[in-house]
Amino acid sequence: MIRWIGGALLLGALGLWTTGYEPFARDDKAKVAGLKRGPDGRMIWVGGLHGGK
Amino acid sequence: MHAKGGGSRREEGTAEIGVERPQVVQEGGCPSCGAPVQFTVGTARIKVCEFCQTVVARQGEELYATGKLSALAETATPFSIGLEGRHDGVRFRFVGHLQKDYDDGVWDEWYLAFEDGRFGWLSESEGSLHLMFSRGQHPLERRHFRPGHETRYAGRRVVVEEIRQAQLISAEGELPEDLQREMTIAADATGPGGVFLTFDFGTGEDAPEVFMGRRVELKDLGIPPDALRDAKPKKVRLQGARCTQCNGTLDLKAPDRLKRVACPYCGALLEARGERLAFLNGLPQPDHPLRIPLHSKGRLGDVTWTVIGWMQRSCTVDGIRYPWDEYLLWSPNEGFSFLMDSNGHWTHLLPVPAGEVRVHVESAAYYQGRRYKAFQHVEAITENVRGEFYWRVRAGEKAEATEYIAPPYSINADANAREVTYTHGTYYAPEDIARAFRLKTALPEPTGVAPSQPNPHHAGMVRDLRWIMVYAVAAIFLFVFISANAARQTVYEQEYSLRVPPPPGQTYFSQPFEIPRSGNVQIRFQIRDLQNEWVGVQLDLVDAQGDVRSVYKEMTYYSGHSTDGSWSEGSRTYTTHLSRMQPGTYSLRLVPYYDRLTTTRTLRVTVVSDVPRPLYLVLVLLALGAMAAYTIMRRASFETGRWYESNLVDHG
Repeated sequence: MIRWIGGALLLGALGLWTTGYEPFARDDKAKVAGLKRGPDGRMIWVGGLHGGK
Repeated sequence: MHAKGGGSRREEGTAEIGVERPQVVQEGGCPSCGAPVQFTVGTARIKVCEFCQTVVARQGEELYATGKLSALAETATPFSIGLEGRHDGVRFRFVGHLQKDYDDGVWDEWYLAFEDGRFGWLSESEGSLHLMFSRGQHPLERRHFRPGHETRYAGRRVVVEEIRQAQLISAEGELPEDLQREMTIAADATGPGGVFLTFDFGTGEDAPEVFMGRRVELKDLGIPPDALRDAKPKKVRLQGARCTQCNGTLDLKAPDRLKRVACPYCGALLEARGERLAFLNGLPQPDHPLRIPLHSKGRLGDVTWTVIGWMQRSCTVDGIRYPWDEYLLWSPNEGFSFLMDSNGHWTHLLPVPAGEVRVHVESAAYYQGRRYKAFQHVEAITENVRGEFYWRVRAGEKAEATEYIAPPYSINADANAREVTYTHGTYYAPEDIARAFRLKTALPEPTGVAPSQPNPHHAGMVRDLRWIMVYAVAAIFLFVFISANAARQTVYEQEYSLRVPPPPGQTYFSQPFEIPRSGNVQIRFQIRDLQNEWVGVQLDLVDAQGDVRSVYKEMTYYSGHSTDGSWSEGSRTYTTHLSRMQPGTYSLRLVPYYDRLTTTRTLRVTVVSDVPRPLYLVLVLLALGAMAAYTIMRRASFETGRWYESNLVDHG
């Protein structure tokens, strides 16, 4: 039993390390509607997510 | 041991078996009956007249009578006077014969003259043969000898197995010294490597003559089989014996060795006296059917055993009676052994010489390189018996029983005032016993934990720990390898001034930057001089398609002094990770939140691509550790149950 559980754990960790998937990451995803590029090439947007205080 | 003295004296110039000493008379007439008496062995001082049983002694040129003996008792000995054999390449001849009555019956002891001038004694006891040679007298005191007593002799550790009293019954042939007709006392001891010793005190209290040798098999004596006596009188006469009380057929399996038999039908306890059985007393009916019927045959190890006896024994601890059953097993080649049934747990016990076992009293025993931990010491009482026994078994018989364990094995010592018996036990599951004896009904399921029961979780624990170790090492190796080959590329690094007071709508946009490969992203926030303040940071990463990933991090750092000393909480550096991001061009938008900064602070933001996290290694190791703890605890829990029953450990 432990052979399988241990193997699964190892494979899981290997998967996280190689894919970069972060199961505990707390980032949010969204699509920005009003994406613009400023005069110096910077991308400027006002949409998306705004958290914080 | 036997007729005392002179047993090992070498005769100078002897070339053949038994050479006459020239200075003493070699032959003459029996002082009693006049029959010819001839001495053939130089060391012989007496000879028993074969016609009238007179003990004829010689001194110088004189022959004189020292008494008369009764006729020899009929025993199962295969030997006879004049028989020749060869041991370790040396020829020998049987020249004298003693018969002694011990507590457990008649034993035969033979005086042997070897071709190389040595003289030895071959004793027959309980079907075992011991060949010994005198080592002379030694300054030892009998009061120090008791069963189980450990002492040293000739640089060897030896253990006293039995203290026995014996009285001469009869003799024949030539013997080294006049016979002791009084009750004599001897102590038998064994040592490592099969060493066997007899300390023969005779009628004295000290300075025993010591005989040392070892156990031998009949085949080791080099006697042609056709020269051996075919004497099985008891067997012939007792084989078809019937119970004197109920006339039931006893069907004895080992009549040669029989001392007592308990009738399986009526419970009459009978004693073998010569060729007949004498009633002693009645025994109660067993309180449960025998799990293995008498006369069943079963194969344990490489030996086929026959069940010839059953005993119910018990001990009482803290007022509670703990009964168990013991079956006496017999094999023509291996002798006797015991099969114990305690709460459905089965242990096969084979006798071992006491000298092979080294005991640290109530601590541990050592046998054949294995340590056996002391488990229990009780007074065992034999309550009931059925079947045949090679000792004078009786209800109420008591013994000090000590058990030492190294599951699935055990060493068991049974001691009384007269002898100590060591047995080596091997644990068997009920289904193994049922299969071995081909029982038609299943044996009861075991209850509780037996002292020598193998821990069912031990093998699993060893296997699990091995796998856990393999996975732990593999996880560490993988992390080191992946970490060493990770990009860990800083794709963006910028410092931002957090002014006081914060300008309204303070928002920063970065120049576009490249994330070159897919993988996670680590974002590090650092304010080196943050002090008793907090800052919240909203950070968004957006790619050219407008897909945004947002995180919010609040940074706090407070410190001070109290009566307990200085303290701090929070950190000046915070790190967060974004899950797997595709390669491409990204821009960063940063919105800081704060209200009470003392002065302008500098926020450094660093974005690093492809950072394998040690967190997952830690989690894997923790999970493996938890599994290791579980498997260890499971095994330990079983051991706790086992040792809870021990009366030799402190249960706190």
